[in-house]
Amino acid sequence: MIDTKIPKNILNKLKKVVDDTVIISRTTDTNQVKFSNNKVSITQNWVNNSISIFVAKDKKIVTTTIQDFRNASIEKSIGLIKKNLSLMGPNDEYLGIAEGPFKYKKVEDLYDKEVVNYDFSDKLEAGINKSLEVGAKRTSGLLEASEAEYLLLTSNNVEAIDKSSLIHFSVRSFFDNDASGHITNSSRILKNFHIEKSCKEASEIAVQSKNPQTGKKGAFDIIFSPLAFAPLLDRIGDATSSFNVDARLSFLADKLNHNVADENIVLRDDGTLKNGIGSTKFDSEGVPTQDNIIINKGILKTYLHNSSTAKKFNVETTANAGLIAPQPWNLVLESIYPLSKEKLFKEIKNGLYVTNIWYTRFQNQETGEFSTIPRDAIFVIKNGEINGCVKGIRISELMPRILQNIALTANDSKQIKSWEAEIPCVLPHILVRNVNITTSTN
Amino acid sequence: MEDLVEFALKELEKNKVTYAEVRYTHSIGNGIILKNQVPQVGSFEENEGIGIRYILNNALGFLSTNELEKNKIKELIERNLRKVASNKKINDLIYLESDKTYKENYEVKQKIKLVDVDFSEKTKLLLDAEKQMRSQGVKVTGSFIALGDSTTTQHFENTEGSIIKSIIPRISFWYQIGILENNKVMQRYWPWGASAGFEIVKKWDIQKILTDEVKTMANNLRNGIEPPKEYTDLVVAPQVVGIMCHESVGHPYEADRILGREAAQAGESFVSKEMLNTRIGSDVVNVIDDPTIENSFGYYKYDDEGVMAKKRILIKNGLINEFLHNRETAYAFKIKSNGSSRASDYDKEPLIRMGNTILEEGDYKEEELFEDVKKGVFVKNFMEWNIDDKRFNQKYVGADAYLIENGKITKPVIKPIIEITTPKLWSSVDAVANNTEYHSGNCGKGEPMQACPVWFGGPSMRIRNIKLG
Repeated sequence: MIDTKIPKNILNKLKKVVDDTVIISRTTDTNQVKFSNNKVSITQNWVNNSISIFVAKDKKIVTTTIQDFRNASIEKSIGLIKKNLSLMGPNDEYLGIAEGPFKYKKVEDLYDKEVVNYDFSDKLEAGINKSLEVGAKRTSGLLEASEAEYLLLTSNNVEAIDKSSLIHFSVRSFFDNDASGHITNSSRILKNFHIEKSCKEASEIAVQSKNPQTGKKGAFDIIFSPLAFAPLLDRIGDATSSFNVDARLSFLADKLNHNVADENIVLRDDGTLKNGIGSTKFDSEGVPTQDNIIINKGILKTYLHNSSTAKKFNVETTANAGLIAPQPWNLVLESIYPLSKEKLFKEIKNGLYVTNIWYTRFQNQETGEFSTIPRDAIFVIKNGEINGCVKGIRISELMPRILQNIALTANDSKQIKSWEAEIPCVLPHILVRNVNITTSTN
Repeated sequence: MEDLVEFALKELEKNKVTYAEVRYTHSIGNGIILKNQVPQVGSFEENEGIGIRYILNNALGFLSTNELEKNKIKELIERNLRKVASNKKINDLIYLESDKTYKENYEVKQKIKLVDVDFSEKTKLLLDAEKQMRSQGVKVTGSFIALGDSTTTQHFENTEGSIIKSIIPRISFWYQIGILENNKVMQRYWPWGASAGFEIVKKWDIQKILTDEVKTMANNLRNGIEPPKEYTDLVVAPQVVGIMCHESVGHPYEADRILGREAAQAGESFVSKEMLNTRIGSDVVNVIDDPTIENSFGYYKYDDEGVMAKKRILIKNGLINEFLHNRETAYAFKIKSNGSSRASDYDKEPLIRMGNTILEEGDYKEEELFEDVKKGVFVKNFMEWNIDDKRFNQKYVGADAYLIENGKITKPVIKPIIEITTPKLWSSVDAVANNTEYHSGNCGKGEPMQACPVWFGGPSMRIRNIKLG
């Protein structure tokens, strides 16, 4: 059980000298097994405790994190907070935190006490063996199990506790240096968590993608797997934060109530999602999280807000604090009329199936110009069927065009957390029309 | 804290480990960020913790905590030992190449200590620079400007007898600025960094950096023309050369990538062990990685396995000469480690990382590179860039770029795109200048992600007969 005495003591001391205070005490316990070339390369454990402090006085904002909980150290930090507040300039955009108390609903399937100490070694061995049995020559990846407990206290009458667990599995299988497949599987609870199935799927992709030819530049209809589109959805999620909109670091700036996607498309951010990797009962101000519709039938309906940005934009908070910058919890992309994955492929006469991407970089976040590199299997689709594979291509595009050109989606949504997508995403296979492909010049 | 380090080593020795190392680090950090001339937040942190890595029955374990009590550390060691043992059927056999033992203290000296500069001075510095930038007659649509520093004290000790203590201060400054000119928008992000005291910030001249940036962007949008469509010569300045060295030389020469250890994260490499001493570039190409450059952002004297850092010659006269190694890959390659093992903090396992990756100078002056170019493009810096995870196909989109006509710099060029393979890039270099600059970055690798401070750079170089996008 997380300690409340020290955080409450800090809050009481700070309340006397500042306007607003938020204290977040966090304990985390994590086990990780990293494997490569079919063997475990390292077994790791982390245990950490910290107390993060946010204070505002006369619109001046200071944050710090305490890891040493001895009285002298805490007193030193409080002294430094006071000193640094006197030295900071005011943030006139800061308009306060939410007033509590709030009532919270339980978010289902966020914690499983078995996760952090579960012995996955037999299952991992079986998974690696399955990869080899399917035909992969070598397989690499990571299995991580963790649990965390949070206590949130604010000077505006919030006291809330949340507890969560997480299992994350990532496997990349290789048939040879040019033929690979990558699959991830993440869950808050042990139920429905499958290592062997993921290994089988990654290996099947690897085996099927052997002998790729060098790809050609041009415009192609592309089906993105959930893993492949998640990094793009992550960047779309960033662009919905009012903080980035305000700084002109968003291609969605000035687009509120405008059509930004096909009328078949709905994008939500759901902090209450059952078993959601990013789900939480409350945001960093203590406001109960909610299911926000960001894009409804192609129309941009809202940006994501904390209390301060909401006041500036003259709207209600969406419960996405981030005390400085609002942030998405779980981005959920879906269409109103989804197809089966098989029917989605039938929609393509001549296109590509991209199974993973990496190194997504913006040239300009306001216009949304970016490029990203398909990694692992890139299959050619001819008349709805997979017909060979390619390598050495790059997607060089505009993010608004990608959003507008999402024509259809499948009905096979999957939760994704990956090296390239920090924001948890739930999304299906997605068909984007006329995607610009470039290649290296000779 | 030395007693805790020794306690942890003794606990591991009691459990019959064949090797163990313990890193205790204490770090004080400060940061301030401005958005559109408004101070958003001032942050300060004081963190400490312990990271322990060991080998038992040839299996590798790592554990870390900020609960600095003997009983907690003992408990975590025992738990990690049980976890390692539970994987015994699938554990890889890990061997470390032997190395010397060292007992040393070292410190990067600061004329103005980072901890002595307060938020008001930093805020004023940034606000004055931003004010100056916004008085240039250029419409700034959005700006982020940030200054951050850390002073890290580390105590490293291993079971072989090495005891290495270090104090390294690091400071960084970065900006992201958007402008509107001629109905077009343009954004640039660029970081600066060094291992030094606050005196280095005064040398950087942040006002001039920001002012030059917006004026240059505005000139490009106002007067820029399309890049040539035909094959053309290219001169790239140190900032572009640096990122090319980092992405397409430093990364693919990391031996852990070559051996597949990072395959599911940062990827692998198009380079193999068999490619040592084969040609990758023209004979004027010499690329080094040198963590020992004083005051560099990637500076360290001993790596996080206790190996003394040294200059590594990655490409010598166009031939692949040397890879970046830790003690594990050195054993696999049957050589000695060249001290490339770095952890970004106490709670991360050391991985093979670059220090400062640099193209070595040639004999030309920069202006001499233009002299026999009839038509070409000079790319001084860049915006978007990326490279595939084998480090073979890369892209750089120029920001500040100019047409070269009959040996002279003429009009600005808008967004020249260099999209090229690594062998084609380095084999097309025919001349290297002598105007070395160093640029900074935070290089990402590992899972959990570790951002390591690095420099990259070199002098300007000329690339012949390239088709721009």
